[in-house]
Amino acid sequence: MLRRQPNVNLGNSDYWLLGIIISLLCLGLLMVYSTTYFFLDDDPFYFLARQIVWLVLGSGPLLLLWRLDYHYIRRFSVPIMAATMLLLIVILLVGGELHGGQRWLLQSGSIQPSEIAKLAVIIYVADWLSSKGEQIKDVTLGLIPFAILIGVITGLILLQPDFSTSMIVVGIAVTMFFIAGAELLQLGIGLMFGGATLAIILIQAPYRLSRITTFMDPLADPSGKGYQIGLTLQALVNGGFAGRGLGNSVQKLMGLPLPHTDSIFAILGEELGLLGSLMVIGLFAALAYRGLRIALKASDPYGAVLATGITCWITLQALVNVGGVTATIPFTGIPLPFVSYGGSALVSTMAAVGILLSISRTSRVSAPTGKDYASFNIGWRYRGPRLPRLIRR
Amino acid sequence: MVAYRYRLMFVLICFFLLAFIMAARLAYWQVWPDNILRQRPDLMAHGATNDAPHWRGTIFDRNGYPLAVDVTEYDLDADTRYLDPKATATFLSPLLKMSATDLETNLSIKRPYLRLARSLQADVAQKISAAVQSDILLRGLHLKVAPRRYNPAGSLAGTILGYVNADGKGVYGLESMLDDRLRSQAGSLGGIKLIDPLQFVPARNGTDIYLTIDRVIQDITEQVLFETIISHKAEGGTAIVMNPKTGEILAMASYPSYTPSNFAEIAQKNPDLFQNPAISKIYEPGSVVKVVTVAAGLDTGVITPQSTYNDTGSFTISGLTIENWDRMSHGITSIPVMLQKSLNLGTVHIADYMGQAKFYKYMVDFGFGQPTGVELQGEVSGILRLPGHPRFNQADLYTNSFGQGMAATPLQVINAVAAVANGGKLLRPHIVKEYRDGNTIVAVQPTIVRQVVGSRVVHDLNEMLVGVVENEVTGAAIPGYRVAGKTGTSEIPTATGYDPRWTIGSFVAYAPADDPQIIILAKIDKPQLPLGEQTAAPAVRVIMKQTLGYLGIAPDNIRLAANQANR
Repeated sequence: MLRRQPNVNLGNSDYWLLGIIISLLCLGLLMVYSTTYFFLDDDPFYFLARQIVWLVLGSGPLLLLWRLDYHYIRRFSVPIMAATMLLLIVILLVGGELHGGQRWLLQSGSIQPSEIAKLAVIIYVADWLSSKGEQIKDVTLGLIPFAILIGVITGLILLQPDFSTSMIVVGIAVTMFFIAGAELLQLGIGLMFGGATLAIILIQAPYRLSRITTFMDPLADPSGKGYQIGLTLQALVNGGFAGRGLGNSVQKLMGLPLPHTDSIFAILGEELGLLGSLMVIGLFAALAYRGLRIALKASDPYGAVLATGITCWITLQALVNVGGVTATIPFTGIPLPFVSYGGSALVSTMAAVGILLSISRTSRVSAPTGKDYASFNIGWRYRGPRLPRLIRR
Repeated sequence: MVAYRYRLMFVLICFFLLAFIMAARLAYWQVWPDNILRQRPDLMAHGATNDAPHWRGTIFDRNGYPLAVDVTEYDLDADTRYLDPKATATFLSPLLKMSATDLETNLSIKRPYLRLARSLQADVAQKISAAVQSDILLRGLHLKVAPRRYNPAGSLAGTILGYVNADGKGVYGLESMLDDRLRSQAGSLGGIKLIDPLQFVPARNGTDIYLTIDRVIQDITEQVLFETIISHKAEGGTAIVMNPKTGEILAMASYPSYTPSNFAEIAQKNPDLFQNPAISKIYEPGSVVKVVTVAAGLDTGVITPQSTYNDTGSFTISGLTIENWDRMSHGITSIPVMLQKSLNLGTVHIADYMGQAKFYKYMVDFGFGQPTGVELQGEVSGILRLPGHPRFNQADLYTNSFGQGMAATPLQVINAVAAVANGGKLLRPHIVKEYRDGNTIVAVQPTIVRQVVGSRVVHDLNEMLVGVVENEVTGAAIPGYRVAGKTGTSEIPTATGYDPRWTIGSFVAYAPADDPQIIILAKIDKPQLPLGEQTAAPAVRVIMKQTLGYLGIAPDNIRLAANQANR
């Protein structure tokens, strides 16, 4: 089925992107060790070793998908989506309870189905959107089916309950819809409905509302609701400009919860200072640039939308994590891609990077000029862009 | 087609913008000098402590009586993951006097740390502790020893001590000034491997501080001062007792004063009370400064003890006419008589002979216009305009010579006179006798700032000041002891000139005159009687008499006879 292609040309790949990812992964290993070596008295390398295993496990899909023509994935988008939905439903019924949520399938391992779900959604939505072509501007064929599709997936993730992941899924999907050529007015109306739904969901769960009120004034109740964010911010303050030095974080020893996953960026800020944290921001900004550049140069609309989705996923997740740690947005349990400790998240993001590299590998070499954009015709009925249908499978 | 490119660029710009916001937020928390956490480090202070209790240093008087100590109270925290919200709320509600439903709502959110109550007394803490041990549903409750500051002597020396706020930080007074030493430190957690060779560090108690204050003398001083102020219907006042040979402050009392444990109420109603008037409130010292002027005159040689001048009753300089306090002329007057009668014209003449440069050299040498450097918070410099100051006036030389047109703190004034009592050596006044950190004792040694005048001058001046008490201010005399002293009656400057109704009466005296052991200053603000010798001098006499007795300093004849016999 997946015959190995004898003459894969990797020369066109975006090696800048690969370099950015490798830098983030190395930084991640360093920080995972620094934040976990004191967890177990007899084995300081326990968590580092596991992270390395996951990294090796993630390199497989990365290398495989890089070499593979990304159009192959498209063939499986429907089965992948169906399997993911099934998985989400199964977890809802039997999943173990941990950290007040059902996100974690296995308590001992760290497989979060919602991490896999995000990649599946991107693959499926890219397929769906690019197959619509001009129809995407039609309310009955574009917006409404799209809204129902995203609504169902998001609803399943929300029921886990995993509010932050469902918000990220919505963000990714809307950006992909936008790039695929959505009518702006429709998009605006859709977002308004989405906002109303969001407000209803927030009011229903009191702990979400309390996170938001905590966010408004994170230090109003430092020993209660603002405890975690207070410790996190204290870590950043301790770090200062140049940091306390690698391994010298005080906050990780003072009960900052989850220093190796959700809060790893705070410890990075404490140990490596503003210099280190800005470097991470810079790396993610560069990643966003390279990813969207790949989308721009993609050889077909499917590649373009897929690359946008993947880039958007990684960037949004980084923004939500950093935003939470800096008390810019409410703190949520979103890991920092490539840096945080975690199995399924690492493997799925690395797989996604493999797809991105694959898209870049087959991108158009010449600089884009007006004529090169023949594939993106302007529809005569609408004065907006559209993506023409490629070969229907 | 162009729009597709633009849409991608729009998304990229959005990402960059958000990245920039994140960078700005990071800069705010990590390097902005003024962010919320840097302004209020106490907010997250608990994040840096472990459970071992640690005690703030105790403040003792010079004989080891505690003046400020930490006593035990308890904080109650909860790890809500390990308790049953309903059972815990029902149990705690009557003990903490909080509503059970509120407690339950709070406890229902799972989190590793929740502060439930502060400052619980031992009886409540014992009940909780017993219940937690027997009931598994309450397992997540944790009691933590939380020291609270307590002043066994109540309001005694309150103004000197200052207070410790709810977060364990010293505010005002010694608690604030010596906060770094007094403050205890939480240990770092043990049993943890660190790349940094930081090992387990036990909690560290603060350094104990022994003051030079004597609890008994402080009590005498406060009582006499308060009685004097009340009986003269005065507004307030200050009294200081020092050892002129060491610069040790034995007592420092001010009225109105406060009880440190009532700090919360005072902070709301009258936060001005927290200031220590002895070092923070300036006044025109008045005639007491004549001691300095005469000392300078003798030291420079422009006068001798036998000098006389012709007191004409008035002196006019650049439009300002200076008169004696009694508005009379006294004819040919000797220096001792000038001091006894406290004639302004005498010092005006001395200042005139000396000139600006010499006079102000001595004023600065005696410590005016600069902080004394005592270990107390909020000390001010006073006001002394030197030649060259933009608002310096020719007449300042003459008014300053009898203590007008300048301002000083009570401590500056007593310290300047103490230099005369101490053979002409100006000392740095100090209030800390010893720092005791475990077995390490660091004693504070007397610090000589400078030799201000020669010993010959001191001898002559000493006799003149004894003459003041013996001949003029007889209300300050103590039978059996030779007391040297000088009064001051200061007018109170207002925006429109001197206040016609009120004065500040003050008196500085030291004894025994041949071998000064104690120097006392009393200053009474706005009493019913206008002169220092009527209000402050009797107060000084009572304090002096009781202190001499308490310290066992024998009357002059016995002491001198004993000295003679020893020789």
